[in-house]
Amino acid sequence: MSPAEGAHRPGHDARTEGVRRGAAFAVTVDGKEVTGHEGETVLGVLWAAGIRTLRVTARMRQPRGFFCGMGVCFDCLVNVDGRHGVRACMELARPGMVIRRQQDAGSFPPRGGGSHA
Amino acid sequence: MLETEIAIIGAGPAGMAAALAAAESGVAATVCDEYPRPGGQFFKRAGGSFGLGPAHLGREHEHGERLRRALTEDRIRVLSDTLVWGAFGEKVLMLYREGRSEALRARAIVIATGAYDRPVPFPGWTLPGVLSAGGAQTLAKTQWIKPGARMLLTGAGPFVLPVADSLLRAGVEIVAIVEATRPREWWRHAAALWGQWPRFAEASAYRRMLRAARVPVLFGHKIVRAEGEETVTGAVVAAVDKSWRARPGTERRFAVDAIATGFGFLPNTELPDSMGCTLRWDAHGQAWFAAVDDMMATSQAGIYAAGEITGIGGSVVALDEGRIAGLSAAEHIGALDPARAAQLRAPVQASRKHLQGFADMLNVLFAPRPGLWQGLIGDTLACRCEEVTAAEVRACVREGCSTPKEVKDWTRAGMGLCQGRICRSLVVQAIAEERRIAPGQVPRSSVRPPIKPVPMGALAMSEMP
Amino acid sequence: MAGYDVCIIGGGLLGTATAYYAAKAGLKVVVLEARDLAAGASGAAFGGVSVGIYSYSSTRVPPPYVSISKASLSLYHQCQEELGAPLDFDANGSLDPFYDEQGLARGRERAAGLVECGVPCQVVMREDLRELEPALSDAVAGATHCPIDGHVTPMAMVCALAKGARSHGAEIRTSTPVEAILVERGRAVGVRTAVETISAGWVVNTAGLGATGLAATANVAVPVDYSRGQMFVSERIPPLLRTYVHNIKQTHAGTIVFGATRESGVTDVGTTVAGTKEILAWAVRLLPALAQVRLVRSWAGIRPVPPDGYPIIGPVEGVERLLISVMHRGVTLAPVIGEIMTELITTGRTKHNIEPYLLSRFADAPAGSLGEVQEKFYVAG
Repeated sequence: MSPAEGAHRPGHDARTEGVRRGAAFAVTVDGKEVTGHEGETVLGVLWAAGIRTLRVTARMRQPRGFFCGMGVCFDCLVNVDGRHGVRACMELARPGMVIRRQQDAGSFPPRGGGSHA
Repeated sequence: MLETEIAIIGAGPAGMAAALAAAESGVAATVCDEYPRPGGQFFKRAGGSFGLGPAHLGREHEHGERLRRALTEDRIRVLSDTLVWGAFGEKVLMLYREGRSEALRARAIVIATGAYDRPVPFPGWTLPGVLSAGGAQTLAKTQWIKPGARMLLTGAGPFVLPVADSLLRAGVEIVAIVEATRPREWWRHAAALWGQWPRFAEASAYRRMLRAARVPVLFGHKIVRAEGEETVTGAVVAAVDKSWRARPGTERRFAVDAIATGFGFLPNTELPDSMGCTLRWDAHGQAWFAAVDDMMATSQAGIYAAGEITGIGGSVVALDEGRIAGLSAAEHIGALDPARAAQLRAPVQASRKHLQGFADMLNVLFAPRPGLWQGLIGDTLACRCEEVTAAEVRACVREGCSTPKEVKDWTRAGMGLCQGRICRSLVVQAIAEERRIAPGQVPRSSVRPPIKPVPMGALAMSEMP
Repeated sequence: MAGYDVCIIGGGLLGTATAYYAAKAGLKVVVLEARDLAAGASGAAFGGVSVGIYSYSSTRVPPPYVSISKASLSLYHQCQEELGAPLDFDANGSLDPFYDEQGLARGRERAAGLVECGVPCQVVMREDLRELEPALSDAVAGATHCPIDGHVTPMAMVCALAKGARSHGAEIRTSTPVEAILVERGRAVGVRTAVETISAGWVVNTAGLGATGLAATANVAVPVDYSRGQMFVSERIPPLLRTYVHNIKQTHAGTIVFGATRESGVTDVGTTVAGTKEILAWAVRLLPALAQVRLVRSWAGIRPVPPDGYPIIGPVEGVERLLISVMHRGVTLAPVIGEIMTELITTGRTKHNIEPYLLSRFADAPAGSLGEVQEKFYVAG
């Protein structure tokens, strides 16, 4: 199951106006081209483009964005250039990066008494 | 293997101050920091490629720049993008940097690993767009990207003010600031305000900022629910009683696309814990902090702790504690004689005591109250990584689990990538409630390396200390 | 007058298994655990449930050992049905890899011995191994494949056994250290804790690391060596492993659990840089895909290892009504130990051959000749 398509709003830009940014470049997110600037993190690039669902969870199939923004909570995980589970808030965006939103791994057998699965 | 006189873990205010104190004492210090640039959370700033004018920069910016410039002095080596994944033997730190696992041996260590926002659960808290206050501020302050176009801030205590400041500068419309306490509760602590005039000035400046931006402030309210499907579209708040329990029939809904929650901080005490340093429970902070004496010494010889991990005190206290720790570490390795060290420490210790007094008052006034945990029930997740609900945690405690380790073994809560940082305090709270004991009485789990997850290939090729 | 029929000391795999089978047989059982269930080796163990893999022996697994292991494996399947709580138990087979000619020769010996005992086992070379387990690296020349083997999450097994025991009326008390085994006129009559004396018809010592000290209170010598095993677990990843490869498996949640070091004499439960490097280097060599996978946690357990490597099971000379069970492969053998203990208590004998595993074998052996003891029992078959 892929993350919700509707979350990507073309033309949307949550960047603050009037701030001079670093050089612009292109990255792809699930195959679609998105603009990033030098100094922005992968999270920043995605969030600025209105992409808020970074992954879908394994057990309850829920969308996740980011929570702590400082590398502690591991909520904002995306696949970057083939590396899975990268914290978008800690990873600087670079030209040509291939970003894929991820469907989490793992299965969850019935829980209860002693289920250490 | 890298060698250094004093290893400092964390390059926030406390870590930077420790490094400067060490350098002043003629000692070589190595600062290890997980982030790409020194500054920690308080002094975080946008990278060099951003061109920012005065309208964009907050009051602490200059101070942060001064500290960062000072760190470039010769005796200080800053290792950024560097994770300390474990501490072993005689002051050996294992680092993960540039894809490799390397050893750093030190004669003294200052741990200044800071804190992170306290997770507070409520229905919908995992929706994209529901953020911690720190997370919202970081995005706005370091990348000038709005966490939301219309945001609601909910929390307790003054941290929400600098967050609101960052958000407003970034162009966010704040529909409301929702504060759990009421002003009339503050006056009981008026005595602690004496002599803290800079704090008054700060508070007044923030109030002016809020008024100018016409941001409504709702006292005596808290978030009870976030609504939305793929992303948050609404924040429902309710009035609360003195225990922060929601009053029925007082719900109000705000249309928002992001919510930031700011209910205090939890210290990153994994490293001192793993090094055998004694931790102390703070009932107001509802957390275990590194226990230190007035020289910032932990219970382990040659290991010092400074900043938020000894107690939540904000950046001003952290700067003092870092300086004290740096001086004490220099004394420990013989670079400063005890009399000189004591002389240098004395004014900083006095300053710290004064500033900590104010911080302590804030910690008491804005301490979490029982109603804050009303959302820790039913299908609301306690463990976000492993998707364990509050109901599952409580059921397991009712069936006999009395420790976080047992809850972890039964439900997987705490086994995810965040290694329990988000759910630990929630599991402890659930255990405390179900077993009718104080959270401080719930046994702690052991901390194990790696302190944060590290790729196995790097560990397989690890340098041996 | 006895308070309980059976008092079991130790709430790990062996203690809870004994409690389950004994309670199921209608006995009045109490388990006294000093800390929490599975606080010792049981909580740290890898969890292999295996007939085909045994690293402490000579190449051929001795037939009596194969016999009880095979029986225990069957009981695992039964437990899965009966206990009604998830065990995280899979029986998809085991692979014991080898890398060179020497390893191949050992593998062939191992397989032949098992087949003679009626256990399916064959050597699989690299090309065929790729079909069984595609993620294994080319450094692996081949492996012995035992298709009936499996793995379990030991903690889940302990909890399930405890639950099962309680459902049959057993009492389990944690945070209850036992200070001494009480013996009167050559017969065990109960135990003493810090706060009370508990009387029982039988006393079962399954106290793991504490077994030797407790036995000493009854003037019984139980020689046990200790060996630390450092263990590791990764983040959750998509399916990578189907079987249990000695000694690495993928849990239902998708994490990779692997280990372990063998550090003789170490009783500290810390993990080390050396141990981490050794085990991770081995794991990444075996499964190259793991290089980019993150390690999430490490831990260590202390194995109680009887001097010849084989379990100590059963009665004790000189003290009636006292049973002991100490070993370092309690995961595989837990259910059969529970069955054996229960049979000994209810009928005075057991259908399983535990002759090679009696404690008395150490009294006979002259010092330093324990290697011979092992061979003797193999030959005797």
